[in-house]
Amino acid sequence: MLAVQQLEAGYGESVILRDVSLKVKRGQVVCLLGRNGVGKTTLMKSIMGLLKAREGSVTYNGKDLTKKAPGLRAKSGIGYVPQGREIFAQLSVYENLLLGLEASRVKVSTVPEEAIAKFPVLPTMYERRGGDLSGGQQQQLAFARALAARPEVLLLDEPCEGIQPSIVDDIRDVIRSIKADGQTAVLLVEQSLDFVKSVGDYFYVLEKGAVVWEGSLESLDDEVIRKYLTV
Amino acid sequence: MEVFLLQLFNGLSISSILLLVALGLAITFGLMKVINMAHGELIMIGAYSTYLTQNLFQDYLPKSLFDWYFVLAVPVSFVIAFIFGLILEISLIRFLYGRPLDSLLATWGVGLVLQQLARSIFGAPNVAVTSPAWLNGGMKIMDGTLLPYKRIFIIALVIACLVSMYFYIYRSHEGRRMRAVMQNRDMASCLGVSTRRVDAMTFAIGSGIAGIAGCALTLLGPIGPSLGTYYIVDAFMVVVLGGVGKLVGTVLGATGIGMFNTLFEYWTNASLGKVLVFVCIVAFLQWKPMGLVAMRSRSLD
Repeated sequence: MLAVQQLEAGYGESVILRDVSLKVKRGQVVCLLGRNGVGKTTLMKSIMGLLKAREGSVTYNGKDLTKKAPGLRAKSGIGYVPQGREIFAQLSVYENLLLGLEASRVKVSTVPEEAIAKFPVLPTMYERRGGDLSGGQQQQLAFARALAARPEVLLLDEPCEGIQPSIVDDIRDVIRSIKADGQTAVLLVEQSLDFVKSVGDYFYVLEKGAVVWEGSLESLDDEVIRKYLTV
Repeated sequence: MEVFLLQLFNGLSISSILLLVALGLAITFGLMKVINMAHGELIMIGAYSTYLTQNLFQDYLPKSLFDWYFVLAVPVSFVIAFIFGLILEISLIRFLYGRPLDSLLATWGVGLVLQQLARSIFGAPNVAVTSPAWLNGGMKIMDGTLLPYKRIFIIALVIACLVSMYFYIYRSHEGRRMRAVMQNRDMASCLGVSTRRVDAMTFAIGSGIAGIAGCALTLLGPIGPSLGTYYIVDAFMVVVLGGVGKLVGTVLGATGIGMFNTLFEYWTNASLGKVLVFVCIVAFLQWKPMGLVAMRSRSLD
């Protein structure tokens, strides 16, 4: 349902991504692997529209989104949990969640139950400011905020970065339950191999801004890992 | 006692005028970081809107209704300045976000154009706006102490503006979008907020409030095309002293400057008092460059 074709993108003069193509199907968890600085986050940003594509296209359900603003992409069903969480620090936790509803395709005025049910700690902190939360709590908030709009594709950029193990487990459970529903596709960037192996269906490996390997869980063997992922 | 009360009231009155003039700028400069030198001219537009409303009432409506023109003039000034602000944002400001020097020059130019426009339409000499009869006179609290109704009206108007701004910014959906965009534009857009719309609305509302300030200034004296230039420096000073980006800071900044101004002028004289206030502000900003209410740094991470 989400397809990236021959995408080229970069910052200023420098080209970060060259000729990247990938597909994400409904109900699938697709993982994006690669060492630091190979363009994983850049690819996420170009899919979301924060970076303009120089070449190639981003299509979603057959609709060409390449020239569309991030807001319109969100409204057509793409949810985004960015690296570093990007919580609105001065807004309360509840306001952060309400902002998640902006992209909702059905008009609702309250945060849907299923978005917060997975993070029971959030309702106890509604009145606190987003910036006062710890990193792990912010990550859960960022997740719930993205889920509030009931996205069909969820872009997760390093959701477990700097998070305590128990919350990493929670996040894994959330991704699994999303997968079990079969309605939402996930594109996941994550450094921890154990984590991606435990949730992923299909894998792309990036190197120097290009896809150098792709395959399913079974074919992601030690040789691939040694060649592209070990430092 | 009398002197004390009178000085206190004067201080409050000056604070309220400063605050009204600075409130719009607290949005366009404080929240949006646009160095809006045309702010003074938006005040001037509000003042001339009041003048026009007065003339329309004089010419087309029975005399008995004339006193009520001012009630209508407040929203009319808001709307006209709002429209000017919207046009300005759409045609110019939106190309200049994140370019403070360019926006400073461009808005200054716009200010000059608007002044000349006013001169061409209404003529260079000042025009007088007749205050409604119910604002003449004052409240006598004791012998020799008269609190003019006009000044009390301006204080009330400021409070009304503040309360409605508070509800708009902190309690409404639009306000939530606005705060989200001002804090983290990229993330807000990724959540589906239309940042273009929010920018345009925010700038227009800031301009509209400048219009209300202009409307209030007609109560204090005649108005002319260069009315805004007298107030622009004060307005920037209030916002900078209060701490950019915080409404509470603007209120404190205006109250501080207003009170100290009155105090120093009472102790010394008008010009020396003003100098002392400036010295205090400069000294204070050396000590706390972020202003009175600086945003706490941890939550900005």
